[in-house]
Amino acid sequence: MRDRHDRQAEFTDFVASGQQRLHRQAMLLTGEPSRAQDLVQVTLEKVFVAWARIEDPGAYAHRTLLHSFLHDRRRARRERELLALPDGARDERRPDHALTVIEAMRGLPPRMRAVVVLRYWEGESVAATARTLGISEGTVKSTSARALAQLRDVLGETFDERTTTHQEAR
Amino acid sequence: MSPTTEDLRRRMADELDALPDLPDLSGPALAGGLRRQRRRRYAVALAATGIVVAALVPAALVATGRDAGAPAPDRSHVADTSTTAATPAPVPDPALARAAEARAAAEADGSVTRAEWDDAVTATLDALLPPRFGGVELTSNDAVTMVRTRAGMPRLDLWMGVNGYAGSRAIQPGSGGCPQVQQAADESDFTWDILDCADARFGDGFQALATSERVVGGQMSDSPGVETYAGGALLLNDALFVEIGIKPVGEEARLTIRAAELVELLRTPDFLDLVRVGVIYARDRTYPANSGFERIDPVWPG
Repeated sequence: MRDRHDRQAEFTDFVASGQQRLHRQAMLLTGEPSRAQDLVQVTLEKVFVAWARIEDPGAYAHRTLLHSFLHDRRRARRERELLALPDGARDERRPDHALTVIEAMRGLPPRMRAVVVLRYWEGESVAATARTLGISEGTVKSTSARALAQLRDVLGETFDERTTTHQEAR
Repeated sequence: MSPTTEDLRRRMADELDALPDLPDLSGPALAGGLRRQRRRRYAVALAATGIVVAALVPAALVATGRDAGAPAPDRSHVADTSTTAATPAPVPDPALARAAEARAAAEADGSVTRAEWDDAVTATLDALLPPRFGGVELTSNDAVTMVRTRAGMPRLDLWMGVNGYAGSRAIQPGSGGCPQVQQAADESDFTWDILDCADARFGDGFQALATSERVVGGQMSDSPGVETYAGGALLLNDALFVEIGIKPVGEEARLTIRAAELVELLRTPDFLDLVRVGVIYARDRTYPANSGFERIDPVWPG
């Protein structure tokens, strides 16, 4: 039977090998380095609490990160009041700034961001995305389509065009 | 994945590749996880003794990013990975519950001692600071209540005072928000850079202001030519002035908490409740007879 020291060592190894993947997901979801770090740390703390009883720490961490992000109400209020980008996802303070994907993602509602991360970053199927988020497959499909349309609107058709002038929001 | 969504993924990868890696979080995560385990045992013990935790928690308390009371249902050990779609009912955060209890205990007999105030400040900041700082611990019992974060790169020292003030509100620091601070910095005769600033007006006449600053001591200062980084947060109301001073630990260390985060902290019901307790403490505290300190007691609004 593993003792506490063994479990802590296993957890430390897991963090060493897995935290950067979680960080990437967190950056896509939060769009901001300090909040991404907070999200990853909170996730890892929760993983540690559950460590003795989980079989797939990677999958558990992945779902915990998503749920922590979606159910963080402080984040919701903070984004509304302090960090929400204007319509069109252009930073009004920097009119010549080329929008990054991470910045464009911040213009999406949180659940839509989660769908984008699962479908297009993690490469999960519609069915798997629906199970992870607890929504219907139809909702995943419609949300994905709307998300891609919004991202194309601000990033260009192939998501590779650099915008240097304001595009009218559609 | 279609060719265009491959473009999207490729661009995501390019941007993420350009980001610096996280520092090793295994230590902070381990420490934070152990604290969550202790807090869960504490919360269970409270329930077992019949203390209704919910009665101590403000109505605005909701599950936060530091929620440890009830993590999402663990399905990892079964084949079904479905999770609840509905927003879960708010779960009391043990850290916030502990802080609420500390504040309630401090004022239970109508007065607040220095030790009770220290405990209330420590517990409340422990619960409210962003998770990456790993909570705080009390570090000083000298003139002012001081705490130090357990984690963070760098760690932070914070001290807090609740006071009244002389003169009109309009001339108090913070009354003019970020523009006023910037003007003061521009007019200073030493190097004073406002690196970050946020302000807000809210509630019953409250004004909040937070800054992160770089100062190079002038020739007439105690440390001419020395560069230092520090920050602060102010909460102002009629007859009430709350100040949190912040200093990063270590030479040449810089603040890693944003002004917007500090303003958000000041606006929480838990912090305002701490200030209310601090008003009682300020009324009850004593000062040395020869301190020269002009005592002006703060007054809680309303």
